[in-house]
Parts: sequence; structure tokens; C-alpha cells
Amino acid sequence: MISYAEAEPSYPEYITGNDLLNYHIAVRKAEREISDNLTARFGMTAFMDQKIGSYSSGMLKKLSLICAFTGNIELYILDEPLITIDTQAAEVLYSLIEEYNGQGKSFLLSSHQDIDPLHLRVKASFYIKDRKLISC
Amino acid sequence: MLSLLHKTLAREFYTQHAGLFLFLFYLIFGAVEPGQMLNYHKSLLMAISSAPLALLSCFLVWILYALKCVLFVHKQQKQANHTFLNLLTTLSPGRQIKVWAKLYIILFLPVLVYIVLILMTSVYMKYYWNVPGIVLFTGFLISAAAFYNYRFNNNSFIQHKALIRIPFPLFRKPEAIWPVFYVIQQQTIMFFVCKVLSFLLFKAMLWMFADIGPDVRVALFGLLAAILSHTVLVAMILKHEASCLSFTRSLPLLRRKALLNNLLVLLVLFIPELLFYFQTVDFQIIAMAQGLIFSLAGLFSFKMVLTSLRGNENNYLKFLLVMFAGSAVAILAHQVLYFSLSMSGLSIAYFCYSYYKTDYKDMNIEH
Repeated sequence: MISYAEAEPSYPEYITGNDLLNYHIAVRKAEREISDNLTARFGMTAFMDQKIGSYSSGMLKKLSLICAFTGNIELYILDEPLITIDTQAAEVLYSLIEEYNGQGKSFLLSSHQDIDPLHLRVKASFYIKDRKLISC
Repeated sequence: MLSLLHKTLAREFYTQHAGLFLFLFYLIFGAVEPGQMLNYHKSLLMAISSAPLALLSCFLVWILYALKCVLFVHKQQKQANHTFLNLLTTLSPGRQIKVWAKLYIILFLPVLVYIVLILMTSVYMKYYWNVPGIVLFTGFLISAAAFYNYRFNNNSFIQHKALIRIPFPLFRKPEAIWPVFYVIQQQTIMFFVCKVLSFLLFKAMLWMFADIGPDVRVALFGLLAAILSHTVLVAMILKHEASCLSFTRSLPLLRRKALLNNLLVLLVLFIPELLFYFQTVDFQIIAMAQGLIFSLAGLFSFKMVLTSLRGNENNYLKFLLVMFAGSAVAILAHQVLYFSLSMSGLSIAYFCYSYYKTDYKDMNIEH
């Protein structure tokens, strides 16, 4: 299974964070406990019953990452995962990537920002030139 | 600036409401035999001019139409691709209101044509008091609408509380019908206006053919009017899907489930009209099944066609014309079921094979 997190996530404003997470859990047949753990790590537990319309862009991004990590995924495609999140959340994201990668999962990150090698081990990096993927 | 508003707002208004105008046009000109057309309109105009109650009913319909125009312009004003409208605020307040008023005159044109006819009839029949009353009322409607948009354009930074808020108890909203919550909670007035128009047109069709007696085709024509009144609502749902529900496409959702969810949303939104139709056909099973399939096929095909056209509303208008003509012929020839099944088959085929291939970013719809 592949999971994709958008660069600028946009969700219905009238549902709560939990509504969205429950949907991902149901569709991907994921374990609730793991998702709750993810929510806690991103510091979002207290806001999950609030409507998404009241979220800041940082909270929205964290919610999209929680949903992206929900389920038994083989390949994670994270589009600009570092934009709009604070350094604390970025640390959580780095640790999650390391942890899941240790379990044999793969990650494809697209980013305009340089990834600090101290935070994350990147096995290969590419750039796009004239619609072609070129190895750095 | 006015020509820009004309090219964007006015043109878009007429294309988005093509279904509604199509049906009104049919109601006014197509439902009467050509030989009786002149007398029919003459009697109608005389009735409106001479009976205060009939004139009052006209005023109510015009208010409804004005509300529809205002809501449309207001919705467009909030779109990111209409920020050029903010340039208007550099003009003096008087000139801004004048520009908005001119735009509303263009949007009101179908109503204004009929108003001129009523005024002429009133003068001819010596009901002189109607003239200042109608002129003042129309002037008030246009000025009020223009003033509303002027206010919104200049004070959009002020947070307003929703005019109508339907309190929903906190419960887990079923994912399948999220768009229904969107329409009811976030597009409340638009939804309300759509429903009122839908019922008015449905009822108008029944009244118009009241002399025919019990015939399922009359009820089906009413249903067709209601379906065509929902074109705006269907476009609105598609826009919502493109902007807020695109993430569902990356989820492992079975296509048949996605299809059922789509149909369920349309069914839930159309329940009031369907109940009214069922009552009209005296709950006859075959007629009820016909109406149900016809409604779902019509609404779902609107959505699929708008998706396949990448939101191109000019081509959508052409489809509505074809759909209207095809449906009318099918109803008259007692072939609604076959017509609906063909439409459903084509729409479902499109959904299964191409729907997920359509990139929302390529679509000509505002996010």
C-alpha cells in the first residue's frame, strides 16, 4: 500500500480531525492504537475533536502526516513534508521516518528545502531537469 | 471594469444556471400550443396587472431570483481567482455601487423583460398605480443587491457570523455523505434557494398540465424541472470534491464503493423532490422506480459530464440542452426507463474507466 501526503493539504472544514483519522483507519484497516500514538507524538490529541475549519496550517499539515502514517504502508510519498510545521513536529517526523524505515518501509520525499543529514539519512537524492529525474 | 464583470460574473451566471433558464423558457413558451401562445401570455400579463395578489407573487419570485443572483456574485467574490474585484474599491463609493448596479441589471435581464411587459399591460389596462410600485420595487431590489456587494467588497476583512446556522449535534459524520453536510452547513442559503426553485418549477409543471388528468408523464416533467434546478448544486459538489476531497483518490477505496457513495449523496439531496414525486404518482411502484432511476441518472450524468468537460461550462450548457431535449422526448414517448438506463450506463462507464484519470488540477473550476 502507498501513502501520499499532499504539500498543502485541504480537507472539509465541517468535519473533525478524528472524523478524518477514523476514515483513514477504516479504509486502510489500520490499528486505532497506533494512530492514537501518532496523534500524541505530534501533540494533536487535544485538538482532534475540533472542526478542521478551526485548524492552523501547521495543525493541518500535522493532521495530514498523521493520516499518511496511518495503516500498514510500504511506500510513503511525502510532498514538502517540512513546510508549515514547527521544529518540534519536524523532529517527530524525522524520528518517525527513521523508525518506519528501520521496519523496512520506503520513503520518497519531495522538498525544496535541504534535508539536514544529521537529522535524516537520505539514501539517494534526485532533481528534476527538463521533466527528467536526474541523480545528484 | 463593467465589461470585465460582464465577461466573468454575468457570463458565468448564465452558463451555470442554464438548466434553470432552459426550463423557465420552456415553461413560458414551450408548454402552450403555438396558436394559443399570444392569448396565454396576454391573459397572464392581464392577471398580474389587475390582481394585487398575483403581482405580490411576482414580487416574491423576483426577490428569490435577486437572492440567487446576490448569492452567486457573493460566492464568486470569495474565490481566489476573482480577487481582481478588489480593484473596484479604488473607485468612489458612488461609482462602485453604480458598477454593481449595472452588473445586476445584466443579471436581471430575463426578469426586466417581463417587467417591461407588465408595465405596458398596466398602462394599457389603466392600472397606473402599478407603474411606480413596480419601478420602485425593481429599483430597490437592484440597489439593495448592488449595495450588498459594495459592502462586502469593502469590508470583507470583517468576520461575519453565518446568517443561518443549522446546529448539528456532534456525531461522527458518515464519510459517504460528507458533501451533504457541506451543502447543508456551508452553502445553506444556496441550498435553500435551490430547493425553493426546484419545488416551484415542479409545482408549476403540475399546474400547467392540470387539465390533462392523472398522467405519469406530467409528474416526470415536474421531476425533470427539479433535476435541472439542481445543476448548480451538482457543480458546487464537484468543486468541493476537487478542493477538499481530492485526498480520497489516494486511498484504497473500492471503485464500486466510491460509485455508491456518489449516488448516495445525490439521492440524499434529492429526497424531498422524490417524496413529492412519489406522492404525485400515488405511490405506484413502477412510476416510483421510473422516477428514482430517472433522477439519479440525470443528476449523476450532470456530474460526470461536468467532470469529463473539465469544468467547461459552455460545453456543459450544450449538454444540458441535449439532455433536456432527450428527456422531454423520452417522457413523451413513454421511454423514460430506457433513456435513464442508457444515461446511467454511460455515466457509470465513464466513472469506472475515466473518473480517476481526470486530474482536478486540469479542471476549469475554482478551488
